[in-house]
Amino acid sequence: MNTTPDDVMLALWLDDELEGDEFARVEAWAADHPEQLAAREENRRWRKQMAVLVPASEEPPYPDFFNSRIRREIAESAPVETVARGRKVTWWRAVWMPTAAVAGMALTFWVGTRVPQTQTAGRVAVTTPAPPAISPALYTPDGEVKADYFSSSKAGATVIVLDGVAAIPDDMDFSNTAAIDTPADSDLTASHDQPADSQ
Amino acid sequence: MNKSRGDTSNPVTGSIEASSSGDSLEADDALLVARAQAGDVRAYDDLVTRHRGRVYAMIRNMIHHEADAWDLAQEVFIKAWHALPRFEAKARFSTWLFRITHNVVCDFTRKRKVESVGEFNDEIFGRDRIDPLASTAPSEVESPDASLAHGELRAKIESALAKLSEEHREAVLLKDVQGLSYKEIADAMGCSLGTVMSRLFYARQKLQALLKDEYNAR
Repeated sequence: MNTTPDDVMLALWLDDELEGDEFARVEAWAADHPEQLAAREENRRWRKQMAVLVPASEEPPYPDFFNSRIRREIAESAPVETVARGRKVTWWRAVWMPTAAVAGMALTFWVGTRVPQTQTAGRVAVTTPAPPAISPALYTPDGEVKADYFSSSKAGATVIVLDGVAAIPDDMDFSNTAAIDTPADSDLTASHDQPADSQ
Repeated sequence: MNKSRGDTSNPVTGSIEASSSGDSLEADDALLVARAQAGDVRAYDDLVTRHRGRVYAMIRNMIHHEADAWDLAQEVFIKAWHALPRFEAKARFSTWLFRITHNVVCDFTRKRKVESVGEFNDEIFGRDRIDPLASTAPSEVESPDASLAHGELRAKIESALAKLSEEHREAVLLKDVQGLSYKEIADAMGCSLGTVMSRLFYARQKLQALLKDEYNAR
């Protein structure tokens, strides 16, 4: 039963995507068509060459940072969805909420007029609500270095402790680590007037 | 400072290229997807680890820019997380990711075309201004061994791929590099089987014409 396959069948056969009866049918037909067998071999050779030369998978630079950034984005986006659902307010809330807000402001104003003017800055600072704690994603390129994060709103300090970092030699010249200053750069920045006595 | 790019985040699951058979891989994916759909962020992290290599390579081959490819691959996985409740196990997870990748890359190239009109090219501040021996210097992706073995020919193939239209390039990458079937490519690119066949046929013809000398020499 060597009927000519349609274009779709032929294309699938040329790329080795046929199986079972369909494969057997086209294979039988192709036995009498050496140019199609040659074309299939050519396709196989092409795919093999492409697979060798162009990598199908390539780790992104700094893969662990890649993952941690996604985790952080996901964690940060979760409350947004909750907020979005919360936006569907009922009619009575739409009336009640502005009224409550105005009443709250009036109450705050009234309380403010009753507080003595001698209140110290220290007391105000104590009653100010602390900002919400944010736990950042810490990334260290060296897997053996452990990073810990500490933050204190009371002390107004943030400390990141790196455990496992090699000691930085005293004679390390930081000025030569990042950028190269070329003469052309310094020419472009600003004109420097030489003192008259140096010329 | 050590700038190793090896994966240290998840030694258990490993990347998809290191795994053994396709069937067990899909079964593992299905389990992880089910857990991630239930809100398990660690399971999703494992999925990211397994698939980030293929997604990143696909995008990098499409846009030829390392930093943008890194950002876009991130975007793919973040969008995939948000769309995960709607994912049904009718398709492979990797095919579904390639569908999202297709959309993200299309959006990016569309915006880039609009924004690049009359834009100052900031790439003129090239790497020559950075000391290659600096502790903080960015490094190229290609390893020295790979560069020696295939560097020149790969560069020619990448150059030839860049000359194809976006649709033709994507079709040939999904088929000949990623090994997707025609049906999966049609799903990923959102077009018919016939369109995929046509794009692939012309893309291969053009690529082989561009690489005629190298191709015949092998």
